[in-house]
Amino acid sequence: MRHFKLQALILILFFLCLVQKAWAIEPRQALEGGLNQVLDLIKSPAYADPKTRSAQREKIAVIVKQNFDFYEFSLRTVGPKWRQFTPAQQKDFSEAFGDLLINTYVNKIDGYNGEQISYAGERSGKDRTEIMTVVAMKGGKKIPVAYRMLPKDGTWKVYDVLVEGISLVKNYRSQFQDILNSSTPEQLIERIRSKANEAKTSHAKS
Amino acid sequence: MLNHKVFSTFLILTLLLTFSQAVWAKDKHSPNAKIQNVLFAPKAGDLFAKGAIVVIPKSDIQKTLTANQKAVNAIFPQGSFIVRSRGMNSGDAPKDVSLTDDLDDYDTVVETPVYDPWEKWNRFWFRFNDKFYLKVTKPVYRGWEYITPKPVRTGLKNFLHNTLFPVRFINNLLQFRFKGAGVEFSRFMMNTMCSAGFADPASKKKTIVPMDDIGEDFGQTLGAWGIGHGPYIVWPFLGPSSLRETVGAVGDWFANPATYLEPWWVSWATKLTLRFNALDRVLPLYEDLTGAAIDPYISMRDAYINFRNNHVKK
Repeated sequence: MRHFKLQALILILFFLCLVQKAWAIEPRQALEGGLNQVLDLIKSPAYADPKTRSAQREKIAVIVKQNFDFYEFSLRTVGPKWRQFTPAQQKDFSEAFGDLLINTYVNKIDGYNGEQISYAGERSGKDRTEIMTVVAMKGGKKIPVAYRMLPKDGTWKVYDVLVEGISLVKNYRSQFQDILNSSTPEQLIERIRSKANEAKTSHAKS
Repeated sequence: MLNHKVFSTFLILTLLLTFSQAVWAKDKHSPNAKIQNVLFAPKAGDLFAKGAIVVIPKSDIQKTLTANQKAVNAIFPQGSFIVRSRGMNSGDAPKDVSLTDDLDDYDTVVETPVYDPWEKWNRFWFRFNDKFYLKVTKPVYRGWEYITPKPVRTGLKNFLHNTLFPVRFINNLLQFRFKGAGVEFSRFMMNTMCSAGFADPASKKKTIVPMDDIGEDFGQTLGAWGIGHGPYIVWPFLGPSSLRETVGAVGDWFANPATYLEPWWVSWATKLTLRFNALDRVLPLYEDLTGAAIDPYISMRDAYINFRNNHVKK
């Protein structure tokens, strides 16, 4: 009987290990899952209807927040001066910046227009992966979009997006460095907040 | 009984193997793999000039790292640093990985800001152009979209692309891209013979070399020859440019067949109409870029210079 118990214990441990391996998601899977969820929401008839669109947009924002790490985005866009931010400022900044990106990019989608996303390869550093995709527009134009990802919270999260090889993080970094040379972190956060609100109200109108 | 023993041994071995793999996988992805040496630098500019190499013992890497970081931060308040590490794969060559602060991702190349000595002038014309694009060009283009059917606009756009063939052809040659020049030539022949350039059937054909989707121009040729941008310039109505790109644009002007139309006003009207017609993708792109920016001027400057640099490489 003792032997049986020992074996049972070993068996359980063995399966636990298997389960743990299954948890380790590949970055590509994580990204595909997120993108498909967003695409499904955009394709749905509820999105085409202006009355239910804002509710759908809320759902998209939730999925985006699950797959994009705005804290990681923020510290990269601020650059070396991030260390001079207080933890509260860092939190405020991340939230404001996340809102700005969601309001300007995600909510800009008017509806599904037959765009196709295809996987075009990936390259990896030590703990960073870049997943390359191509968005094929209806007119035949192809836009390369790459997502840079890092492992976090048991999954992989996006920390930079490159459209046509132009990094979103780098573009904002050059702006923020310029602004932070003459303003305080608080002033920058305030500017980001007002820009995010501006984007939100302009969507509400259209 | 023997069966049981074999079974248990098998399970234990598999268990160990799975576990060690999990550990290996974790280490592969975690920054605190065996760290050999750390290179600290006070500022981006003098990264290598003032950098010091610190060797950290294999044990207690994370602690040592934070302690070192604190020490360095005390000396250089805005210090950025790069960690040189060797992964668990002993066969791997050492790779540069940026760490802890995560200010940079895997590109450890220090970025130099865009050289912009005429920022005041540039900002003035940027504001002017912005108003002009959004208040004049955009509504006029909406009107143009209203009165012309889409096939007409696409046809004119293809026609413009086809007439600019000499620019792309010459610049492929100047960059020693002879296969690329061949592709441009056969595309031109095909499109001209099929439709006088109003359709673009050639774009569906696979090419023998990867082609830059915007085509080669003089600015890219100068870049390929190793000439830098020089100062950034914003031109009235024309938008962002640089000294190099301005020189390039003059070259493109001479290589454009429409330049040689007579009389002069026919030449200018043709060019203006064709350029205006091709704005369909530029306007929304412009609005996307500047609409999401906190400082649209800097955003545009950065995007323009990076966009051109990417195309020089292509």
